[in-house]
Amino acid sequence: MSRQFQFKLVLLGESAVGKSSLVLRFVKDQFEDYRESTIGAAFLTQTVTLEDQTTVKFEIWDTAGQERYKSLAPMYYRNANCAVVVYDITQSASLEKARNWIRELQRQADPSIVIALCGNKSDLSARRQVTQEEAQKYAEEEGLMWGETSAKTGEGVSEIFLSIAKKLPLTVPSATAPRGGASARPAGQKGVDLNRSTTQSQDGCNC
Amino acid sequence: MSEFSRLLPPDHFLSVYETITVPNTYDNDDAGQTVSRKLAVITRNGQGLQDTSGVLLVKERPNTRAGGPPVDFAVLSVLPVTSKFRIKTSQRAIKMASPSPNAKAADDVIKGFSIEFENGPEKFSFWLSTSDFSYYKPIIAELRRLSDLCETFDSLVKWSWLTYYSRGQYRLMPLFHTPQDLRVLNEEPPLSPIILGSQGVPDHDVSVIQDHWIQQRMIERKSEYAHLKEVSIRLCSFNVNGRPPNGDLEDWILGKHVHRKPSSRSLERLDVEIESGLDLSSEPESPNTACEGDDSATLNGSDDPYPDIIVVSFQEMDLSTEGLLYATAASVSKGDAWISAISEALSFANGVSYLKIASKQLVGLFMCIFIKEQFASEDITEDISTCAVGTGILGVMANKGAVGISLTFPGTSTRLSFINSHLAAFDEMLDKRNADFHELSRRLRFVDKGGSDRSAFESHVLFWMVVRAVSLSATSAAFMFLTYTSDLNYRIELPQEDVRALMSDKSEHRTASFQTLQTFDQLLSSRQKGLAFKGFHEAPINFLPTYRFAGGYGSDDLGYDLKRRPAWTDRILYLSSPMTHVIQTSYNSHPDVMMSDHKPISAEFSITTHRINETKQASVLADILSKTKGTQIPEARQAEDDDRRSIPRLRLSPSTIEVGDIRYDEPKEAVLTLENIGQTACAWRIIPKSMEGAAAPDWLSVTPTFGMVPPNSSCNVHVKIHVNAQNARALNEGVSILDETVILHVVGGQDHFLQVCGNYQGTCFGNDLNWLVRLPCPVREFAKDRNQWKLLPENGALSCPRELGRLLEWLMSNAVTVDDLCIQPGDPQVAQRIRESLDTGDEFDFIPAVDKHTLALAFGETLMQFLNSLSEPLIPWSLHGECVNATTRDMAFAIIHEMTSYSASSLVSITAFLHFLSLQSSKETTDRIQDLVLKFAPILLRDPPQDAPELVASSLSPLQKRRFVEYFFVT
Repeated sequence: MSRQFQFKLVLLGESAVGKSSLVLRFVKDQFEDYRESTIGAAFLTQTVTLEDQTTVKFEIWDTAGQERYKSLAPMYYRNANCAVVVYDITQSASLEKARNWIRELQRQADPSIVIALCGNKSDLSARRQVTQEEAQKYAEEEGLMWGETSAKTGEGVSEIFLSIAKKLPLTVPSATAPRGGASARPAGQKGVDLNRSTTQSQDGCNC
Repeated sequence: MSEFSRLLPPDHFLSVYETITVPNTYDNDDAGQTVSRKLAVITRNGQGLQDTSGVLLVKERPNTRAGGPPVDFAVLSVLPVTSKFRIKTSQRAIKMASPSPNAKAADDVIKGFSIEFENGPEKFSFWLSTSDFSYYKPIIAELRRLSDLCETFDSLVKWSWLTYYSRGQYRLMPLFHTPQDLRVLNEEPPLSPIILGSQGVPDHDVSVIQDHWIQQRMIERKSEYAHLKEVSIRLCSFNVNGRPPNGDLEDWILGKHVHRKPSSRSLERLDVEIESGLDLSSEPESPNTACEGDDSATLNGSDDPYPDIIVVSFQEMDLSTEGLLYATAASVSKGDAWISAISEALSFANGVSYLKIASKQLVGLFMCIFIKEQFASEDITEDISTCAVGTGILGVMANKGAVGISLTFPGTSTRLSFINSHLAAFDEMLDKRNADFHELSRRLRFVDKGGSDRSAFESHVLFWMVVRAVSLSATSAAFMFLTYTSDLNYRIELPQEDVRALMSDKSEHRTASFQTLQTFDQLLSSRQKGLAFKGFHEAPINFLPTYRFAGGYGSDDLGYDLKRRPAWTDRILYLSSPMTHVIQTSYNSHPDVMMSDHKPISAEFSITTHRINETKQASVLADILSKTKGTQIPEARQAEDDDRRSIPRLRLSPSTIEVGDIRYDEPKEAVLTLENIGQTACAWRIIPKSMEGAAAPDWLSVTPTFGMVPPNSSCNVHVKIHVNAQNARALNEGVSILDETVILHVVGGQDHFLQVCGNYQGTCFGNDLNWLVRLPCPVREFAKDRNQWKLLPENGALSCPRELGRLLEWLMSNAVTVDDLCIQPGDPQVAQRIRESLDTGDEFDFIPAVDKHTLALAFGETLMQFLNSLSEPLIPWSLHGECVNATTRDMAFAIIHEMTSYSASSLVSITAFLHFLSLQSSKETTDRIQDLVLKFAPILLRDPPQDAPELVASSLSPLQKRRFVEYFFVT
């Protein structure tokens, strides 16, 4: 039987770098030219299947990039297994913001968090302000995953999520993988074993 | 069954029984072939709440979904396993349809067992083709165990998650057929614990919110499927102390003397007529109800002021020793004597005759119900059930306890229950009384003709007459004391001297005095703390205590026994369903009835009954249900839909709420519209930002806190901002731009951030005295430029807050001859202007065109409000203990020296002003002093908050406060 895992993923980054578009491309394979800016945080799920038939279900929290909501971000990256920090390759200032996010994650998030740095809007490379070398060098120094994506064309999007899935420690079965707050599955189920049926009721399997 | 594709991770199957054989039409003995079914028990962990289970009957079917297991299951029937869950088994042979129609083989008849699962009105049954039942015993035992684990009353809402498994077919709809437990109906729905950045238990929350929404809509639209009718009910209760009837009872029984305010009464009548008019036009009458023709007579016949039902309750009808143990012939005849006395009283009802339809006696407890003749028909008696519970000696003796009568009002579906209870006596036995209440709540069950029983709380309205549950307590007259009992029940007892003094206050103070007395009332405080009678309503008490009266020398001026503290021992409370509108129209005692040591009481209610047209109800329900389509969580949809996740989408408008200037005690409201712009119904809730935190600061409230929006529609959420004495202090000392984020979480989806912004206008109200005297300038100026201004050093502080000085100065020069200054309330709008001038430091020359008297009263009002808003009263709590011990003027003044210099001089300025005021009055000086002391004593010596027990311990009784403040008026 194939193994299933479930992980909490949070998207961070400056306003208008394309976080929501990235998620929309990944989850629905769609793109909208004009998207209202996110006021709040959106929750979506997407499952990817790895080569060994292991499936990884991402619980994705797409957060608001606006500065005024910055104080709420810790509530979203709390308990996250992975973070995608997004910048816009046509705005060098957005990489600065991304560095700030990464510093904050390294300081305050779960130490085992997997962080990916993602340069979005690669379709606009004519207006590029952030070179691949610069970003890659920074990522290597900090031990982050790195990639460039285009939510508009779809280039690199599934790749970055897939490589996160591969890198996540896949040793914890989903039933005990950390999940947000109260949704974690309670341990220790009571009840008498009445099982005389041919089909066993299997604990810990949610297929 | 692990391959059941719809099992949600938090749920698990306890056991699965295979190959249960069910005749495919099992309600028909001649039915055809058997089919294979499975029985499963599914349990959801209650996440800290109670675990809940359901039993499912499922059938196997090929899985159509790609990638899933080859076989899946379809749920055929679902039943929640609650405390009402019952199992009936019987041996039964059924005849099978023979494969060849002509053959008459012996094996056509198969022996087996019939099993019926039943939960309230819901049931499903099946048949097992086995002669060995032992195989099924464990599951039967397990279901019984799960049912026993449930509380005696349970909220069906807790089982609403089962609707997910039944694909909405099973909707826990009994909710609308029989009255639900009133305690549950009045509880907040049990949403899962959640904070920002987590999802809670989305499917649970969706079903809870959805069921609540359906219920709300059903109630809103009740006039579409129910015939509504106003019915008046009068409750009379009397502890007769063993006395026989003697004297006239008609005023008590019929309430002729009750002064009904003509205006409000006629308004209510008007409402009724409008409602009934609508109803009549929308619904052609079904001819089957006996009292149909009487509806219009009751509704429009304003000539007849008499109640439709009169419920009379007695306590201590029989005080004999045998009466404690069993009913005696004497106690029965006493009941008869009272019934004839009541009947005689009822003959005073002009042109109306009443019939006794029910009575119930438990030794000294007696209750009987009279109904207007026109409503009494043969079938009403069919529907009446009674009960009796003793909680006296050893928990069973009948000297204490309750009797109850329950009935459906004739011609309606409205179930009314009446309880008459006599709880533990003696002031000190509060805990026992509260325990008695819970004991009675558990044991008061009505058994109907069909043999099934239900709690007294399963009614539309439950009326409860309580006697001796309460008193203003304490046997010691000299001291008040506080006891801290193991059940965390603080009991502040009031000396009887205080009780008598407050009861004798002049009529203009009476409302305030009664309010003061009632803060010491044990029933009120037990109810407020949720220790007993949680959720019940009681009208404000505007009558004198009903206990204990004595004759001759043993009584005080009002006739009360000098040895016992007067108390409101006789009370009438009620609890009602949101389905039934209840208006209380009177609540009185009847002091003219002299025969007992108690006074009788009465209360009158007007309730809106309903008669349900089930066909119409079903179509309204279907319409409402059609709007909830698609409210499943994304996870569930993911399994269902190929095109995945029509994500629930709400649009908030506006997303930022700008309220402009926010001033003290000037509430502002804004409306937020939630529009569903997605394809599916959307359940939402307001959630806190952290585990410890509230969803919003206490000056900001958002209602409702959860709800549902169907596609293509919208709903409104009300945002209210109110800065008051409790929350102004932190705001005054903080920043002046308020910017709060409220989180609106779409269940299973997005978090919306709602921004609430405003400019806070600092105020001198609600602060520490210490902060006010160190302000270098008026508070508004100080807030404007925090960098420029610094608080004055401690030793350079003002001698008294400048605002207080300004108020007193104005009053001294303009209002000393106003006789009702600080007695009559001031115009709130003028008071608001005065407050604004105090805050800004502007002159008082703004004054709107009001007469001098109005202006003076508003200034007086502002002074009292200002003092009352201080975070600590002028005489600090730490000194209250000493104030108790001050028995002379000198001792009182000595306490002033222990106060900070600014508290002392503020106090002296105020009392000097009040003293001066009393001397200037055209009234008798002592009277004026008395009036002012009554007003200012509770302000200057305000009680500490209840959550500070160390301070509460040394607080003063109302009379002690008056005495202490009086010292400052004596010259």
